[in-house]
Amino acid sequence: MGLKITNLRKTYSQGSEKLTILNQLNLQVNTSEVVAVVGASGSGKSTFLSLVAGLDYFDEGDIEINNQSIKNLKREEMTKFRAENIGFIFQQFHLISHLTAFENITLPLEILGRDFNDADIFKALENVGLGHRAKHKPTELSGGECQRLALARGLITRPSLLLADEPSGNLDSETGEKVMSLFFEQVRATKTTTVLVTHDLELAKRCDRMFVLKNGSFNQ
Amino acid sequence: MKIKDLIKLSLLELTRYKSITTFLILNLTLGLIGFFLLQIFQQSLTLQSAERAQVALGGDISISARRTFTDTEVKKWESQLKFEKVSKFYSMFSMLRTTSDSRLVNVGVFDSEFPLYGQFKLSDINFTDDKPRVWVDPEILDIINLKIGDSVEIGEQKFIYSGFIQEDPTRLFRGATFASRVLIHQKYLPAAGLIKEGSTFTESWKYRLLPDVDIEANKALVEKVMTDPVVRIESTRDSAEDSNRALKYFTDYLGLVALVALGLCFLCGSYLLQWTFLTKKKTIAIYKTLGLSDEKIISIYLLQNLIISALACLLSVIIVKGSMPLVQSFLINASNLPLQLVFGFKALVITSLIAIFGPILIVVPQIMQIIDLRPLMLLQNVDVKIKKGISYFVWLICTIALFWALAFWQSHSYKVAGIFTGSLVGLIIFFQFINRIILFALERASARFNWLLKYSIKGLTRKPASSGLVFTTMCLATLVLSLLPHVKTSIISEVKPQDTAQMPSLFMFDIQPEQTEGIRKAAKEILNYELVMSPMVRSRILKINDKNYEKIINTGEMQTREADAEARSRNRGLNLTYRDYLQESEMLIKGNLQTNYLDKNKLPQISLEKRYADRMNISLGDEITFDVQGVELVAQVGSLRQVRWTSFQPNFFILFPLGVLEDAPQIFLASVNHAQDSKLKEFQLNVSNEFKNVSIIDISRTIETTLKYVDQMSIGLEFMAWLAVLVGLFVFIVLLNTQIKERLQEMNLLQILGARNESVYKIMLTQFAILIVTSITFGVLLGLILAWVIISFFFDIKTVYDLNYLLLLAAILLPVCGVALYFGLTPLKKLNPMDLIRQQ
Repeated sequence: MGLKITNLRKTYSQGSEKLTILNQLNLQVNTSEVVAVVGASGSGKSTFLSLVAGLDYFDEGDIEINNQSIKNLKREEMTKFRAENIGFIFQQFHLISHLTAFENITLPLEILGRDFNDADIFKALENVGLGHRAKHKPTELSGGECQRLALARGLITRPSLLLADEPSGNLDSETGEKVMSLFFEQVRATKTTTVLVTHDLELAKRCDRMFVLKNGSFNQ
Repeated sequence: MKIKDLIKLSLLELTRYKSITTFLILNLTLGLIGFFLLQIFQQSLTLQSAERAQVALGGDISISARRTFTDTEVKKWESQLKFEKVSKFYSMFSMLRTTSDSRLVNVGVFDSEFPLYGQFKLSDINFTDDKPRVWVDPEILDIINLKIGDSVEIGEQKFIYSGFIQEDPTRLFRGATFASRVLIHQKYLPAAGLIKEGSTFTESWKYRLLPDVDIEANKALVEKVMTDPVVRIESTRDSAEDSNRALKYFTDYLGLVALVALGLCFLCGSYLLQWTFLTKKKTIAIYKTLGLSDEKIISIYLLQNLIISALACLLSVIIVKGSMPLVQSFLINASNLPLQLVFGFKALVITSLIAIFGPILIVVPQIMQIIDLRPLMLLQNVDVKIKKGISYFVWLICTIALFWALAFWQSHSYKVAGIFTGSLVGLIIFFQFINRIILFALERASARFNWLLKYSIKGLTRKPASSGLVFTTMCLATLVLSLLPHVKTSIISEVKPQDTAQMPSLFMFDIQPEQTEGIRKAAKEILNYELVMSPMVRSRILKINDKNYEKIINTGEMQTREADAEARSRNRGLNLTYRDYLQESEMLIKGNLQTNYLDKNKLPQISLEKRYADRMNISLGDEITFDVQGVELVAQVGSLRQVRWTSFQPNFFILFPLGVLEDAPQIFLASVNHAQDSKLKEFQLNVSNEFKNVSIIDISRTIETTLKYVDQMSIGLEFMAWLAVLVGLFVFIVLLNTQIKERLQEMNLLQILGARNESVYKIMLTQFAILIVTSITFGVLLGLILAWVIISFFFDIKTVYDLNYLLLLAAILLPVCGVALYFGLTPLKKLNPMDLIRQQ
């Protein structure tokens, strides 16, 4: 199983009140499956992503990624687990501005302490159409190129799970379409289990399954 | 949009960026404090010098020379003056002797009209000529134990000790004098026999003019009839400019160190403004989209700056005003300078002008960017960068020119201002260059390092503007701070060497030709020492290469230090000597030394001290016409010598060969090298009793006085240097703060990518530690090199480094930076990577 969420519950305290954001949330995503999570603003999408990424703790339930529960992982263990198993793509790209495209891609590998050869990195760049932009910094790239670079970075560690948060949200429709085509092509080619959070129903329909987050739980 | 709305918007922007606003205010305040304090000091000094000018001069006009005036001369100038009172005053060096001790003193000889202005405060008996009395500076009592009524000898006359001088209105600051002052009445001068053929003394005629008489016009009339360049004619205005010259020179240099702090603060301000502009550019684009004109946006920007300037000014006024009693007490107690600090309007205006126009000047690049900013560019996610076109470089040149003007205004010297500004700009460029080289080397080497170090180094190399700013400011600040103590240590070591055997113990002058044999004999008998006598012939230069060596008269309000030095140098008489060898303290560096003048068809070849020749623009082969007490004498420059002045040997600027000056009126100088104190005291007493006109300087006491003076001066300079370091540290804290704010998102991302919190903390720590360690090390190293350059070429002495001070510097600076780093990096401990997802 790529991702398994069981009876997940997350509450936040706001003054004396307790707000329940996610309640009895269940989800099963098969290995290599690409699923979409849609939901209105404030439905808890960001909380959901934070919990799956292990950036926040949940009150009840469990999350298993690649058949490993993250429930009892300590902070440092979770950081290591995240580096090895989870890839990210953000709406606002979040690339390191002072590093070149090449260095942005190698960064997750260096953090993990994995060896790599330059040819593999160039190949990854070529896969997203940026082979000629290896020495360019993000400020010298267009929005579409930045997102393609972010995609390459998200996949470079061959993560068990790729979390993509509105990857085309910051792009014009034409560029967004091109980037998302490349996105689906890459995640399917690499057989990466993917959770795509989006507002765009058309985009969601291109996924294998779609889940709607409403009142703290999913409706398929 | 009305002005009220513009102010409202400006205030809104300032409060929105509270921390940056606070940083800008504190930064400017820090820069202004030193400058403001110095202005107060300078204005107070000028004001009190002017107020005391008449008293310090001893009249409205003073006419003096190092010779006696003839009756004809006196009548000549008195016919031009409209005066009501006149007082004649002599000053010379002589020995004050008791039965057991003797000391060199500066004897002031007054008449019954003295003083024409001001009031002396004496401990016991007021000035009177009823008996031969002497009044002394209190310092003398530290050396010689005197009680009222005790008998002391000066020259050949016995005087009654009648008290000490509690307040001398003619001297505001005594500085480094090797002889304290004593005062005696003129009635007893002939009996004392202090003025003899060849004696060195100054005769001054001081006039109190009639009320409503134009002093300067009267001075001009005297100048017309008294054309002899050795005659010094001074008015109260000259006296105000002239008095406390050393202190004024010192404050000039103090001002330059204060300008380093101010320059650093503007450099930091410029960075902060650019940083703020980059974070605000979206808002500016929104203003533009909403129809706000460039002029209005610029007005908002300038208004913000004005508010910051006003607040910084106010804060510095409060701090300076609050610290004035402390500075005042320091001046009086530690520096023995009874200067009453006055919180003057002029100092406030000058500081306010700097506070207002400085920030306006540094905001110009942002104004250029505001004009260039197109909202469309922002929507297309394109970075707005400053176009370094002609206008940018014009601004840069104007800024440097204005800084030069400020340095000139502080130093009163084109040359010093030029060297200072040039060095500062050169150093900033050099530091930026060095920073790039260090970072380049580090990045090249980083391929072998772990990712943490590699990433930290890239964070520096890829952000050269911010890393360069920290490097430059810290380098410059530590350079200034590390430079001064070595200069001080070298001077101390030079005037007070460890090997005192090489130093003379006593220095004698005013020895008459007929006394030389007797003194030589005494030295042989008491000290078993062969005394070498150096002849000294008074003269003045008439011509150089047939060009009249004219007297330059100070007529302008603003006299540069160069013009001032040249005028003084030209108007001063000159001492010549002759011998056929070079002393240990001398070294021939150009030409040949003529030892004997034999071929009378040719001109005698003289040897000049190198720096004197440079200053007077004289080179080998030049012909100089001297007036040796009425006789014209032409000589040619045959060689240049280097002289170690601190050897305390009888050294001279101009050395003649044997066979020229032997018949001229002359006196002799001699120094005694002998370490045994009791024998020296016996010799000193013997000489001062037998040869009453001979003056003897106790070198060790002179050295002590000089060192005390060097110490007092260095305290001021070091205070300003520490202020520069404080600004440097402040820049470091500002950079740390802005960098962390700027890079929080990046640090959060690193955590999402799998970096541990500890690793993220280490990245920033490593980056700033590299910057601090390299900049402080480089600043200190360059300080050592510059100290060597200044000490070797400017002071012409051996460099002695103060290694203890370096350790102290490291012991203070590194922990302070460490603490700043610890607190500055605190936000990294509370990183929350979820922010990255939430802000989507």
